[in-house]
Amino acid sequence: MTSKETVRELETQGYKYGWVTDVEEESAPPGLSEDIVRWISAKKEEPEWLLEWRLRAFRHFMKLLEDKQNPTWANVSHPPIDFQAMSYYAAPKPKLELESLDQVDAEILRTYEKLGIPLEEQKRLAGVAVDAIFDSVSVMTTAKDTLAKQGIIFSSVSEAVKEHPELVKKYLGSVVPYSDNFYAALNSAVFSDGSFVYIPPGVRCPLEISTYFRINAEGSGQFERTLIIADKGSYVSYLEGCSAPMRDTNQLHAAVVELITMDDAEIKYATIQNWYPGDADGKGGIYNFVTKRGKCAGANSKISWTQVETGSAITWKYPSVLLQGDNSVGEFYSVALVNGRQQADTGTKMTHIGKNTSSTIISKGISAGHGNNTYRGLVKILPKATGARNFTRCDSLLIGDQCGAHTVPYIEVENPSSSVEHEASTTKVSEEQVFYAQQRGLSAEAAQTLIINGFVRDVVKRLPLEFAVEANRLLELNLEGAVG
Amino acid sequence: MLEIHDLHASVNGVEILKGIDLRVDAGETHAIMGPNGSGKSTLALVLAGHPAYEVTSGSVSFDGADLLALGPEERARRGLFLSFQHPIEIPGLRLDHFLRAGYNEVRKSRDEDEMDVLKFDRLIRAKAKDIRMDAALTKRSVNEGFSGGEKKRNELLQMAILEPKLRILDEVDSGLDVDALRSVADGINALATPQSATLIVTHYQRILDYVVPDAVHILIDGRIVRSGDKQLAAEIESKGYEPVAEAAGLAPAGGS
Amino acid sequence: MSAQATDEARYLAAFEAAERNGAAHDPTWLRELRRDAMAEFTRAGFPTARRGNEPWKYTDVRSLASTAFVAPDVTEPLGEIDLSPYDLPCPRVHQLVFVDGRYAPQLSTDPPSEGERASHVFFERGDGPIVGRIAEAAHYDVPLVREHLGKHAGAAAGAFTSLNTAFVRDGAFVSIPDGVSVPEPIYLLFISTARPERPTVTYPRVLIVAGRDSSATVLVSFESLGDGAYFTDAVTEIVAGPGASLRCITLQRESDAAYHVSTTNVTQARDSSVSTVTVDLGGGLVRHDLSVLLAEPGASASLNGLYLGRGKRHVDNHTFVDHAVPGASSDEVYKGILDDDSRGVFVGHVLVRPGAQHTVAHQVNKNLLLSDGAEADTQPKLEIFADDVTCTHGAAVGQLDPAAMFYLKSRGIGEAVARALLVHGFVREVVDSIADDAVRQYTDDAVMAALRAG
Repeated sequence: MTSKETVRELETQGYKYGWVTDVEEESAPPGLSEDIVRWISAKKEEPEWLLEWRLRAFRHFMKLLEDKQNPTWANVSHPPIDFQAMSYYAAPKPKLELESLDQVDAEILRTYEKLGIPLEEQKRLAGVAVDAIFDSVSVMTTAKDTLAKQGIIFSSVSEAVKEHPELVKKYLGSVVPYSDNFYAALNSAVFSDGSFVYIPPGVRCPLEISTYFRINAEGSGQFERTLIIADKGSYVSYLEGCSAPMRDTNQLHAAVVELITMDDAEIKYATIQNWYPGDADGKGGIYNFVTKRGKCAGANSKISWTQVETGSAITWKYPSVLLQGDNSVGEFYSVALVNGRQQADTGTKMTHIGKNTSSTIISKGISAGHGNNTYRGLVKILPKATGARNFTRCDSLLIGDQCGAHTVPYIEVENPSSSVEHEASTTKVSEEQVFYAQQRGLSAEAAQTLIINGFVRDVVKRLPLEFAVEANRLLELNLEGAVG
Repeated sequence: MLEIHDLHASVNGVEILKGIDLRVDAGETHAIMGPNGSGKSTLALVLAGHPAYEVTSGSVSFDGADLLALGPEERARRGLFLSFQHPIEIPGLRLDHFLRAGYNEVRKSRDEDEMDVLKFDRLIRAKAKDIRMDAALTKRSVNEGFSGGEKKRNELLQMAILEPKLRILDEVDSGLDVDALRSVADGINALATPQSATLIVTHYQRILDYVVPDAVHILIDGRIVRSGDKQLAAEIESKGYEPVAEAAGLAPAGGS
Repeated sequence: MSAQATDEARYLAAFEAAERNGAAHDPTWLRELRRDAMAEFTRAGFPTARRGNEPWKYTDVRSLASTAFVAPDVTEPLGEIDLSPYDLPCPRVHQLVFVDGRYAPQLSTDPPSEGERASHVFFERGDGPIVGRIAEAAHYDVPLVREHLGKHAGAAAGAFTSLNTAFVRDGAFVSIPDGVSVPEPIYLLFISTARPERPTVTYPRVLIVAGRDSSATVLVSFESLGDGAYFTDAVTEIVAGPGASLRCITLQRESDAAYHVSTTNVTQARDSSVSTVTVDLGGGLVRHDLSVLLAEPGASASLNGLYLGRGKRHVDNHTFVDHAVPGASSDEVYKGILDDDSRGVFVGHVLVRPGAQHTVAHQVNKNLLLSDGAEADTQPKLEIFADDVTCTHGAAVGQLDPAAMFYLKSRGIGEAVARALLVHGFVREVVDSIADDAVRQYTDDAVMAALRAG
């Protein structure tokens, strides 16, 4: 690296997942209306209570839209979104009840194989169960039978609505009500599919549970809904990945994820987010407006979020934990990278309600190109949360002088026996570090990669090994051309 | 002066002291030796009244009073002094303010008048000179940025000012080079009186070359497994704790 | 909505009355400044919204807005006021005293003679500090006042600043000529009589202009003689010229029923250094907005503060450091002690603008929560648009360290004294950042007295 900083933009070739799968799809006509909501619900053969819930969410959303209550507080800018211009449902045709792989379109299988997630039995990743979501529907869920032997339910939400309505009815919207926020309301009205996981009491899920989201259709939004319930004393590790074709229009992805842990249960939830970020000039890319929240309902339970956010034109996402059970633990480990014209406003909310609850927040932001990266977080200690603890560390790394790194933490403490610590720093890769590595024979590029790997290590090491490798590869790829 | 009877104590539900018996009289110096993790520091902190340690059974009397019924400040006011192994740093609190507050509280408890700032300043300077400590340190925050030697000397200064009856010295030699050790030991000896007693808690024998004990007790796994005179310390120095532990039917606790 | 309109209308009526009474002698620019400010205040209104009002998220000023404060009666003669509790422990000070917003010549030390004051010559001296009244400086149309008054606390600074500017008639004007170093502290004392009969409002205004390579210490103090409710809406503008070194300490000891809202704007030229220390020991509802503009390279700012929450006191410190150019530095330490049912708010915003390379910015906010009813809200905020920078911030909320408590107790110190010692130790860092011996001693005594009062 030379001391003179130059800004080179993200090369669009850097995005390796930008192809389109040639498959015939059935889409809802563009536009959002009560009819569309009813159409989606009918398409999925949903019970009346769910339709009613969707309609309540729809009316709430339309009210918010009318009152111009779309969120403006985040440090991101984009033209107004025309909610009538997009389609709220797209699915490959014909939609069959899939009994075996033979019925999955060969093109779709090839797509997942190219993405590194082969669905054919003999090629599958060992130790991982996968739900493959293609636009609005789940096309395949693997290892269901293995899991079912232990009483674990792993299916698409659509299927869970049919097979386990009592569970879905009880927990859907219990952590993120439809009235929670603008995009949660939209999602609740039109959500199409997503994953459903239930781990029975005392069961340690033997496989990594994983969902892969692929947006394929043009002009459609993706609104998935994920619900994970870990009953008493159970454990599950869940991982999601995602990608989308390169297009020069923006597509909206507004998901909702709800996690619930009972006494002594633990959920680890990891995300590798690699939606198409748009081109060097900021054309195209996914608007990733996501609500993720977990509730530690039981004592001694734990919810841990790990995220590696490298994609999307705009990311707006705050995976949070409600620490309700005594001694419950919440964690948030995040790497967010922006390059090109990407904007990320991400962080977490840790709400301490129960006694001796503790939370840890580690956020690593990398800004390059013309990207802007904001950490926004809330640590709230309520009056009854005796002995609550929080530690927060936010580090930002800037590469080049046209990007921005921002830290906006909110700390609200109402209990005198609690302790909260927040530390943050902003630096660049030091020339001394690079020189030191160069002196040992590394190229400047390699040196920088190593230093960045070191910078994010505390977060990436929390991912299962093969995903950690993938995360590092994505970071490297997305920073191609950013190193001066 | 001090009588400990079948003392059991635990921290976070783990028993560390498993029945200690010890008697120390005025004018005596006792050494408690033991490997790391044997419970030496716990004993010192329990005697000083650290809130994290729970005494589960046994008794301790100090000058005829039930020591365990007293809060840490009351123990200090009655003349029990602990020189900490790791004296805490208190940013912002000036050492001389701290010393004067402690000194006056002890005086008040004895119905004596508080000492004013100027007199106390003279006292500090005299005491610091006695123990060859730089008085300028007393204008700094308590222990903040002090070297290991300065921290130990600061403990000694406090001891000189408070003039305790029972002096418990926890690893007073750790982190000191030979010269510093010698001068700290000189200070300990100079401050000893026939009315006071000393309890030295140490892993190594070397401090005992300078502050010679009347009795040596070997503490392993929360019990005193052997007592003797200063020869016992020399024996430990040459052979280590293992033979003593084995003879007592124990593996040396902690170790590394 | 109609209630809100009435709140602002009250001030508009008072403004129009004041303009009719005796404002005619003021220079045109000052009258325009006031008129524009009133228009701005009427447009913006009090920041009472409880939704989407981020700067006032933690501080609710609805009760302030709805209280019908009146201007103090300036025709009443001033009674005997004993200033000895407010004496600085040093032989000489440049002291200017205002009682209920009114200049009190018999209590002030500067200027030394009536004759000297009553001419424009007073404002043109180059040999020593000029500690005078804004009303007189405006009367003689002193160029520095015309140039700076209202220019650093502009319309964007908010409704309370506009309100102060709309009513600006008098206040303190401090000017340190080029190259002058003032050894004695400059002491600006604003006293409220705080009589319980009727709530009053005053608009203390301070303009400090430090010339090239000048140096001075200014203590701005807000004191209360009674325990009535009143509203102090203060604005201070500080301009530090190239190489100037200025230390400005604000000590706020209003009554427990008082509303105190202050806005301080600092503009720093090349290689200047400005140190502010804000100490809050009183007040019912207190809000400070302190903004520092590092306008030229080499400028360095130090912002320190301490706030003591007692009873139902609400103290809100908002600071904003604007690194507009390369090579400037800022260092900020705010500490809060919150007891009883008090609430402490700290929002510290550091902005590093594009191109402001080699910025060094550090910020720390620490709070001690001492009771179940107390609350601390802190938001250390970094906004950075340059890569070659060193920026850190930290925030903590906690209790007195139990290990330190034990150490003190093991030396015979009882619970209450141990707490007082540790609390004083916690805030000493802030008090010690005051370089002037007399001002530091005076402040430390005030802090100790306030701590003991609990």
